[in-house]
Amino acid sequence: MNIPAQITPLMDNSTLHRVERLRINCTRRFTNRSRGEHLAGKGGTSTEFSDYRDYVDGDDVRYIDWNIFSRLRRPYLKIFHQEEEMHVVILIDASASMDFEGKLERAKQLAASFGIMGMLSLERVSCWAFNAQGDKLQYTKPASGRIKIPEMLRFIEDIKPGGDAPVNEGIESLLKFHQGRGAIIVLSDFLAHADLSRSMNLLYSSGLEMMGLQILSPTELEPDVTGDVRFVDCEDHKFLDVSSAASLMDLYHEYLEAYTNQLETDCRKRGGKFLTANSSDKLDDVLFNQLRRKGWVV
Amino acid sequence: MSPFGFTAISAAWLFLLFIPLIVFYFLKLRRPRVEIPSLILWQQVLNDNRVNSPFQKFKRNLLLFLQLLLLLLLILAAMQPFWRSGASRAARLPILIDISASMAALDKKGGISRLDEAKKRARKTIDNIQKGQKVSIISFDDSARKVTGFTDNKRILKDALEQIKVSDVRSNPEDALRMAQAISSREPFEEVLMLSDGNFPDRIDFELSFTLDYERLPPAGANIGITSMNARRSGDLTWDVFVNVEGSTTFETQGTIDITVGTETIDSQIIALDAGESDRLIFEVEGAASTSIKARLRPAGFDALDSDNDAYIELPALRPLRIYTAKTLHTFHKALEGVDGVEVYDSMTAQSTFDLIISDSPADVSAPAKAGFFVGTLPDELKGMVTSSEGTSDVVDWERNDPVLQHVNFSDLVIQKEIAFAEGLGEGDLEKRGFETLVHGNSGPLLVTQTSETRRDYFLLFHSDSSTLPFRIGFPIMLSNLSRYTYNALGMNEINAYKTGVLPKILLDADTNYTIRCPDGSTRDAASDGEGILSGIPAPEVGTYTVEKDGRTERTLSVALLNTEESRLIGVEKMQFNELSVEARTSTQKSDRNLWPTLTFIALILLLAEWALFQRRPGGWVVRSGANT
Repeated sequence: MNIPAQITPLMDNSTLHRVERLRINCTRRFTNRSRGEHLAGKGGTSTEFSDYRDYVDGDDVRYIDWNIFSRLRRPYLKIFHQEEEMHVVILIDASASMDFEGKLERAKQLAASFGIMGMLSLERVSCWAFNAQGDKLQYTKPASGRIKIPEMLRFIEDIKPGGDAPVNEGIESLLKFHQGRGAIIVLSDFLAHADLSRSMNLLYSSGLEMMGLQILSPTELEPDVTGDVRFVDCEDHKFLDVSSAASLMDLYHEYLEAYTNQLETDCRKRGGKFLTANSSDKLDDVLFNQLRRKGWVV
Repeated sequence: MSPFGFTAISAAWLFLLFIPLIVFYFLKLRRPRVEIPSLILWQQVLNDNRVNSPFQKFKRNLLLFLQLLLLLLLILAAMQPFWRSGASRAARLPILIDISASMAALDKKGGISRLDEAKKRARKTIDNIQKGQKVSIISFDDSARKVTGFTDNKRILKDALEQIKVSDVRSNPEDALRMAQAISSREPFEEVLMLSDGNFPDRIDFELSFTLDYERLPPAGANIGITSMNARRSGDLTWDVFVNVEGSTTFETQGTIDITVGTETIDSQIIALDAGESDRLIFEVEGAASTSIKARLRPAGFDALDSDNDAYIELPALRPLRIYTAKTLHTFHKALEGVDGVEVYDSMTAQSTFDLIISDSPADVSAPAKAGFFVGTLPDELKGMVTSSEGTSDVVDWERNDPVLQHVNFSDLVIQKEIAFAEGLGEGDLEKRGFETLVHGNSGPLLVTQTSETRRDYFLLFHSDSSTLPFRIGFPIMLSNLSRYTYNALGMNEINAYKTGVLPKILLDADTNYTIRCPDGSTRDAASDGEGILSGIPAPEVGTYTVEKDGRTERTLSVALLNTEESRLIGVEKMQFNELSVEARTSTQKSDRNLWPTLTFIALILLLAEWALFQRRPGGWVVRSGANT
């Protein structure tokens, strides 16, 4: 019996096959005019029936439902779903802060999954990654179709951690080069000192629906520290002395919850989505349970 | 006075260690570095007002406070603080521990013995020994043994305490108090602690020269035991055996007495006693042959003491008393013929053996017998010291308590001889030669006696023919007393069971080494003296002791506790000495309590808490591994 070779080290083949059957579910439908497989809200020319409406002058008579006309003697027009092409942008935060407890690995796994979903839906998918401030972003050109998947996977696999670029800078750098409407999936820990609402506004005005997926490590969610410690920021190497850290845990959880809630609210205000994932959770659980339940994929 | 004290106050200089501790804390405070993805959340946490509350400010230096507290506890422990109990702190304290039979008594079924309780209290006293204090341990039953000299080494004292065992012997603290007094002449002390259950005589012939702290242990539970066993000849060939059983003073008790001859149980009687009651049981035993009798008490229900449940008695074979009277002493012969249980002979051959010899021939003095009565015979040792001449002698006084002279009246006795001391001599000179004067004449002794380990001889220094003695009413009484005394000396009239303590004297071969096998299987060597007497063999356990020579059993002797105080478990409330009395104390002795072990324990807990809080490496962020798939 031939056992198929591992397609990508990011995930096993069984997960990959399950991912192929999923589609990205955008809330808003920023789409390109070119025809694709993404269902637009307006009536279209696909084979999938949508509704009936009264015939008005100027309508294409080819869409009149003649069976109804023969019974009712009145013309009704069949409306089909419009399948349009959508641009899917995947932005991976590869700064040093993601190099903890498998956060970047999880970001790469999810990026590959979203990329496969988009490409198999014949959307135009482009992947972007950022590391240090001022550095040029790494990216793949927008592509679609199964044949482009390996190229995208190699790009994602080769992303290396390091650098100090905050997520807002990564988004703004991306917008300088990207063209096209659709959705942007940002895979980051979103731990930045800057105000992210400006970046979200820019995304919105560019016609990209913000889908923020915050990846946090288990120790960020439940820190295991006691006594007196000196915390050092891995990116800018600034430090902070904390005494009796164990007694501050409640306060830490309070602030973490408030911070993620604020991010989620900012996303929702701009018609986007936001989700926090634990890097220690199983990939299958994230993909086929958490993302599904939150309506990220269908 | 402060309730606290310090044994090693000089260790207070260690408080100076606070200075380097504080200095080093601030100079070399090194927090463990933890690299984290972002400081954003922690900065917000630290900026929160709640973090900067007064309590949180205290927490900021919690490590310093914990270290200062730890050092404070260790320094205080080094200063060896103690809690004053109010009791005097004697530099030397002898502890007298009662190890008599009753100390093995349990308080309840499966409970602890009185000795275990005493050890527990002694151990507590040892634990609280302060610097400069020394303790000595003396154990006692009816004699005392110094277990340890004065020492402050707690390990030695506790080891010695563990070695102490109960002996099945009655209690008498007099010897222990005398030993303590002897020790005090070399190593003075003011107070003695005595741990006992109080089962000893309440009157003690001793002049207390120190303060006695008599700590009476809690009473034991119910007990029933054999307190005496003896046998009396009831006929020509029959013994009556008497067994006395007594119970506790505060409990009703009952049990069954089995009398065993050899291996055969000849009689059993059930006995039930009210609190403090006793009962005397009588058993009849054939006396034709020598017999070993064992009385075994089987208590019904809980019995605090086991060692008083057995008693033993050895009964010799009964036979008539064999008396030789010289033919010249016809009146003696006639008088003895009327006494029951005697056989009187007036001839002696080389093969004949007699129990009592009555003769007026100096040659018969050396004939073997248990007793002798020699008429008109001056012992060789007294020749030249006492003279007999023509004249008369009058009886001045006589020893009415002597077994031979009981109920005998020598008043108005006419003696046609003058018996007198040689010039310049008196009764003291006779005593130096081993003689005791029983009848005193106006010039000298009229009847003397000489006692050895094996026999007793009476010497009437005038002949009965030259006196009115044979015609006096006291004459047959004296001879009857003489025959009864010989019976007793032979052990054929009344026998008492042997008690623990020291084995009775045993007549064996002269100057011979023997091995004594004890009930627990241990052996000890002993040697008989020139007369063949083996004496002074300690018998601290109830049971049978075997005297062996070259592996062959020579004699067996069984001993039992047989003591009323030990069996009834009566605790003496007050010890009455010659001039003062000492009340019993039932509460535990107060002693200064060492606090350093407690402080050290708290310091250890604090150290562990400090380690758990501050020294544990933070986890989590340092790990960089792949995500789960």
